[in-house]
Amino acid sequence: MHSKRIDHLAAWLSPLQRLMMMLGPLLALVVVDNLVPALGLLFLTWVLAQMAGKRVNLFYFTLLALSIVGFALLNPMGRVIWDLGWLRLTQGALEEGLLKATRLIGMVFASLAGIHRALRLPGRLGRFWALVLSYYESLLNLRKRVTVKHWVESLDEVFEEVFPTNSSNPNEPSKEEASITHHPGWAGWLVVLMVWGMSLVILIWGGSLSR
Amino acid sequence: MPSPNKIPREKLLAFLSALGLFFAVIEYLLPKPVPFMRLGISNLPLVLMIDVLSFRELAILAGVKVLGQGLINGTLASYVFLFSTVGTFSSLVTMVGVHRLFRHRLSLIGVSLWGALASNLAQLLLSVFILLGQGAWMIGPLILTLGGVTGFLIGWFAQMFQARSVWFQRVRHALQAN
Amino acid sequence: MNVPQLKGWDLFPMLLTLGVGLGTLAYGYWQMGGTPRLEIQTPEGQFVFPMNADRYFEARGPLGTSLIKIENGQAWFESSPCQNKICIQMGHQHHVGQWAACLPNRILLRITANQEDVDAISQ
Repeated sequence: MHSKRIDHLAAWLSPLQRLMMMLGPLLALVVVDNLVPALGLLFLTWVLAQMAGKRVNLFYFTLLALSIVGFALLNPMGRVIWDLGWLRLTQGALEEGLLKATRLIGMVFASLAGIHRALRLPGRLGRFWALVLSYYESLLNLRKRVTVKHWVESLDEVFEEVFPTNSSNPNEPSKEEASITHHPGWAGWLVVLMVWGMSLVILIWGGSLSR
Repeated sequence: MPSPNKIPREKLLAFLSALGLFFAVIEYLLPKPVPFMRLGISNLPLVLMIDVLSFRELAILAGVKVLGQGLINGTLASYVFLFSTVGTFSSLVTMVGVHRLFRHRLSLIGVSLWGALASNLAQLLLSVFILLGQGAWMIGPLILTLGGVTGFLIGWFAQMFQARSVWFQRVRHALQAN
Repeated sequence: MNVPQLKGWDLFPMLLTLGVGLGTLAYGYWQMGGTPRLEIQTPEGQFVFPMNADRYFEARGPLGTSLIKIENGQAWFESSPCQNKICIQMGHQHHVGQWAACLPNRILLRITANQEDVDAISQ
């Protein structure tokens, strides 16, 4: 049984502030062109994702990185570092693959840290999204009632409970939203600035070292 | 028996969107042979409702599913969202197109297979031009074959559910009466 | 109803999936093997670059740096520290198998498409 991971960022940041915070490392990852600062940004976003209480499957991301690097090596570029006969592994292709993998995975981590489901969407979309979320929570709560042997009948039962076809009663909104702070405080903006600052420092420091 | 005009369409769309999200979470947890590949299980509500809802409603369903997936999984600002969006909408447009054109010659399984082909081809193109480079063409057979298998299964599940589900019959009856 | 209920035209997307899959494999294989590359031998090691991207490369030899340019699918010695500049006079290389060399500076460039071409020439 997995223990529930704590979202430490929720105590400091509103969903909107989290979104703003994420943009710093995200933009930095878009512009970074050197592996060393990219790795620094990857570490920063990984820490933020951990603080957001997100479960990061290291096996999945390692596999993803290996895939990206592996395919990059199929297009040789630069100094040949290992001649396998049927393929020459080159330094340039390796660096390009590593940079691409670091960039993409860093963006996922930034997104994991910055996107919160309680993010308020505007107008009619926001109201619709709240309704979707409430149905979603209800389905999640009843998922254990679905059996493989009688999957149609058990799904029917769950669907009828969550969305009755013989009643027009709306579902109650999820209570989870009440525990999320929606009011952006000054401490949250300080955190946003700090993360932006760290992203900038990593970018500049990494760039100056490579010259 | 409930009155046929009691099912509010907006609430039904919200429920179906939530169902898509629910299946998307299951899909996210399933092991995949290629890590960035989307199996398409979250498209089951689209296949199920393809002959019940209008294209506009199906598009809303698809959009909310994709956006919701990004918000709930936290992958909104990453390549995962891009793959999900492109895969879902190319699948939707293809499925609606073939269903409207060849309704009497294609079963729901065939419609789902067309959707899977479109979705996986689009994602393969994204893999080539964004993620992995020209070498990604080599995994084309793997992605397309596996996608074809899940497309077949999704179509089959949708077919069985449509035939046996009392809930679905009530919804279809109510919507057609409106 | 637990058996899939298929209709006649359901076979078409299945066959198309198979066909497109094999097509992508064939295309990928052709892409990987057929793209021309520039192979540069220097005293510092071997370098490989795709011919479809413009670039400058500084190849270092015992006499100094020879500047090699790739542009519009052609490669040539732009400058070299040798005395006679024969490598520069060899001009632009653009077909697979063509080569140019600066022997005093021990730099060789050659256009290849796959590994077999290099093995053949080095033997």
